[in-house]
Amino acid sequence: MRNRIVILLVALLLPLGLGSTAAAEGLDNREATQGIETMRAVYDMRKSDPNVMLAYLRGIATNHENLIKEGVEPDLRMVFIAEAVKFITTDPEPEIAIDHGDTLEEIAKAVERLDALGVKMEVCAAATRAYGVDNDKVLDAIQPVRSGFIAVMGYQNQGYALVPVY
Amino acid sequence: MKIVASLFLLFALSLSALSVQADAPTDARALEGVEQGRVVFDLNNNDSEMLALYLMVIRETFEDLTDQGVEPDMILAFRGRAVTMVSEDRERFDLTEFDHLDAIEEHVAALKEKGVHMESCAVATRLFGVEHGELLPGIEPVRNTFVSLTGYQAQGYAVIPIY
Repeated sequence: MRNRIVILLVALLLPLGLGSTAAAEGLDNREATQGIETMRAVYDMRKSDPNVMLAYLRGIATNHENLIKEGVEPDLRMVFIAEAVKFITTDPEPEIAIDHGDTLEEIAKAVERLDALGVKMEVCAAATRAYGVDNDKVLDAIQPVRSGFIAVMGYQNQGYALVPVY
Repeated sequence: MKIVASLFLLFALSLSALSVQADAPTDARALEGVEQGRVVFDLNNNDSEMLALYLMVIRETFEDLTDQGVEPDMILAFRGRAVTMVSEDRERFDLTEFDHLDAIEEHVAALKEKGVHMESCAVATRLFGVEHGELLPGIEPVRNTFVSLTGYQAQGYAVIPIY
């Protein structure tokens, strides 16, 4: 029940905020983006529901497009940590494949789109091992790294803003 | 859900404790040009078992940074109900949680030994009835963790939320 409410909320919010194009006509983020030529951000992706994660992945792609519309160059990174790693493999657990096969295909497409946009993506190797995900089966656009925590702090230390996606 | 999360953390720890193999992933891209790993962990757990496990991961993260030639500069900020778990007063807990509280105490002592700065939110200690004199050794009370989190980020520290 709680998951359904969250999914519904995300579905309602994304078109209005993250995923907005036409619906948000007249709205912008110029207060936040003023004086910024390049927007550097790292998304800390820890979603445990593939449907919600898919909605956010699509929303992040729209973030990228909207930044360009506002004259800001996006420099976006993403780190998959914890349960989120289960949904970015070509060899998912049978139960997940049965329950969420269509969603996983859409996640793969969303990841491809983000890669084409230039979003650099990494996955925590400790998490892939913990959840039995083979690093060689992770979606091609996503690079395994030793520690998701170190990735998140390293990018912040390099000047990237943190966007938690929990 | 809690069990799965616990398993994940235990697995992560046991695996990261292993020596790094030649073909093992590294964090080179994220650490490019980074000489000092400046980070504040925003600890706001409601569950003592999860807090204990995350503190273990933080200890491993300290070692992972060092192994990759980066000097750790870590801060732990305890707020919310987490402040009750770093108090020597355990009357508010069931006996079943004492093992986790023992683990938390051990991790805090080890992190203190490594020079990690730890602080506890005075707003949270007031709300949850925790005496500052009962905080574990190494944990310094501060006025307001929202303010200190803002300050540390303004000083250039990364933040990692642990909820």
